[in-house]
Amino acid sequence: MTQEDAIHKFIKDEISNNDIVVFMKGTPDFPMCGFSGRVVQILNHFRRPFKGINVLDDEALRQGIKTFASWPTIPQIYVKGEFLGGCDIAMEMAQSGELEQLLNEKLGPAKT
Amino acid sequence: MSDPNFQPGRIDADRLRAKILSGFPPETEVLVQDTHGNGYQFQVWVSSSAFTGLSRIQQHQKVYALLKEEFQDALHALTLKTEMRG
Repeated sequence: MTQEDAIHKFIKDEISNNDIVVFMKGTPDFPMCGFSGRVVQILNHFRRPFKGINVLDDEALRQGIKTFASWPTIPQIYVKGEFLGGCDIAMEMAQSGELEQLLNEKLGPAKT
Repeated sequence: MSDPNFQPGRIDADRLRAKILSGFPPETEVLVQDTHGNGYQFQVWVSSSAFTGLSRIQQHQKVYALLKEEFQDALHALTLKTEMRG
């Protein structure tokens, strides 16, 4: 298995084992980039717990996450194993109401 | 010696726009704004009939694919909005 394969397997495991995963710069408590921070705010707004994975901790992951979804930017959001998009798409979907609807459909209503 | 004009890989907004247009049909509209005026952070809006039938993710991927080199190079942040055009 190449290093890239190993990273892709790691990503696959993470997104299969957690309802929402955000690959981001920094951590949910301390985002290191405005776009990652915005995604944290969006998910918090809809009261959705998620696992944040800091790509700055691992250069191979930082590169591997880009090839995994053919997506060159970070953050990346995965819901129930499926790629949702990055900051722009999350923002658009949050504003249009699509995001809340999708999260409700896939995960049930948010806990209050 | 310090060089105040040293800006490695600085990307030009017009070049970015031309690069995107090169992969789309001619009537496509592309707006590119260098948000901080520093050549590394951009806001891009693309409206094209070529997006018909594509999901939002696929629409963005289509634009990203044209900017592969820039992403490997100096492009730091790109805010992207795509619109389907009838």
